[in-house]
Amino acid sequence: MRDVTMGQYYPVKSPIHRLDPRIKLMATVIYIVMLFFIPTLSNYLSRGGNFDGYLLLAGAGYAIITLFLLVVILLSRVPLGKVLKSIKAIIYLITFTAVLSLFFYGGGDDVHLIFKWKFLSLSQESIVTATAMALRLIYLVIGPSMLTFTTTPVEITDALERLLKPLTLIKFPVHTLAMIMSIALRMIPSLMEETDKIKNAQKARCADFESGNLIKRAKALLPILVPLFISAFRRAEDLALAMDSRCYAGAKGRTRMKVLKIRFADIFGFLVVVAVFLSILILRYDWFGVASQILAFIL
Amino acid sequence: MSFIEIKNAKYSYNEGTASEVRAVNDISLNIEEGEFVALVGHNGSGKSTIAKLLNGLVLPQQGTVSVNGMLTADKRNLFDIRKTLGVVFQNPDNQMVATIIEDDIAFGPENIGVLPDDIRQRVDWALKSVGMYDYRGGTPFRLSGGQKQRVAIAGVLALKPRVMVLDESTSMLDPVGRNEVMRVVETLNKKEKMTVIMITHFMEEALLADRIVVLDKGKILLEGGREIFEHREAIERAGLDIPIVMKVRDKLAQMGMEISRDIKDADALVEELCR
Repeated sequence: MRDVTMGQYYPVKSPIHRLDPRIKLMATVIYIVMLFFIPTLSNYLSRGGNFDGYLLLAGAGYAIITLFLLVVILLSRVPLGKVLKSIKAIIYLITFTAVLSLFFYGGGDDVHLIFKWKFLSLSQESIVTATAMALRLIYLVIGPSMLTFTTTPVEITDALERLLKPLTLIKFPVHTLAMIMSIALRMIPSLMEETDKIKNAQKARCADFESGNLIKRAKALLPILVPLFISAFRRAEDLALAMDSRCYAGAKGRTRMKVLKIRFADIFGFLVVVAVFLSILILRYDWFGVASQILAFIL
Repeated sequence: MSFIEIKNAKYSYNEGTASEVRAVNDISLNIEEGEFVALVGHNGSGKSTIAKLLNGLVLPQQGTVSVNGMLTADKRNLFDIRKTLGVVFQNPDNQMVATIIEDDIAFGPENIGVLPDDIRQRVDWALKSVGMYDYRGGTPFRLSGGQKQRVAIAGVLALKPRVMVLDESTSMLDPVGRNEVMRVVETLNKKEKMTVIMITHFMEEALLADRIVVLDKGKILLEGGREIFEHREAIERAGLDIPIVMKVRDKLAQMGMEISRDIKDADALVEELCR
């Protein structure tokens, strides 16, 4: 049986795996934000930009992010095929949005039209928009996947607890939430095992889970769910007693065995992400006139 | 004053209602430090309730329970009582908090505010004591029942308690797992001088203890060393078996053999016969 509690964690040793989970979590958030700092074409044009300017901006932006992702993937030693597989879940969404924006871009009279048939049109603009849209969706999935490939759920929970610690000042129960999350993770395999047992027990008494329409099959699940819930509550009670017996009293006065220490590599990794973010910002807002100078140079 | 004192304790579930069940009915029991005591009894004899009374998970409705002079009735004592007296429960799966073994062992020391480096030492020591050190980085789910229960024992050990209570901790295990756990418990009692209170319905396990307390319907029926198995009828009436070793010994004694009453397992019986 695959270990469900590990999620899609890919267990190898790599510099990315070794990075502090807090850094990886913050980096992922920055990464997602920066994807949205590459504007869409229509947004860019409405702010007075021109088509060529957009090509440069989006092209350079996505190139930087691609480069960054490639470096991360290579360093993490997660096979590229496995990374690309994570897109599979949203492949239909990507195709759907891409096809829509490919033929329904519209965009007034000054588009570089390729062909037009009734309400369908294909233009250079729509091709660029569709590509940018698909790329953004793909990168939105790959980035966080890299976090889960290289960080165990336990580490992520731990990192969340520590990062959200300031919220305890406004009485937000950070520790309790993290505890609930880690216990939920810990209970998943036990409950799955339990489900199997109950299912077999009901099958032995001639329960039928496979035939009939949807409603009938949903109804057939009831004799599994009821015992499962009862046993889950019993487990919860047992666990609460065991935790009490081991002196658990919430966050107060509690220490941790594994202390996360920020190493040089962590700071370096974080700075790289910030640098990538900054370069996207420079491109977008044309800081120091960098973007326009490059544009002038190329044209 | 004894290390653990139960004085005229009474406890009923659903007290004052029609479905009142009297689990512990006027029990008094003293246990000294370093002892190995077995509490045996049939289902519903009140033996598991005693475990909960000992560390204050439930409070006696009448009478008192004290550990090292601290009364469980005083809420301020509970933290220190639970540091002194650890309880290992029946189902190992329902006692584990973390997905990684060493993190689970660290749970107790983390709760009482031990410093990180000291926690690491305690975790290593506890895992070595139960012979599970090599598994520290793994998950508990792939372990056998006996191994899981040894991890649960280590989780309690890491709190460095002076008393270890095992509440039917072997009842869900196969004979091999039961043996593993019993070896660990015996070593803790003999080598670490830890007080052990073993709650069980396996009479073979009770034989390993220095003192055996037989419970029936919330009361103490018999109390003493291995010689209590002379009261064969009383024990059988309480719904318990006479251990097979003792049956053999009795048969041999009936046949006119001179043989000690103080035999704890098959090996000891063989040794006695070859003497």
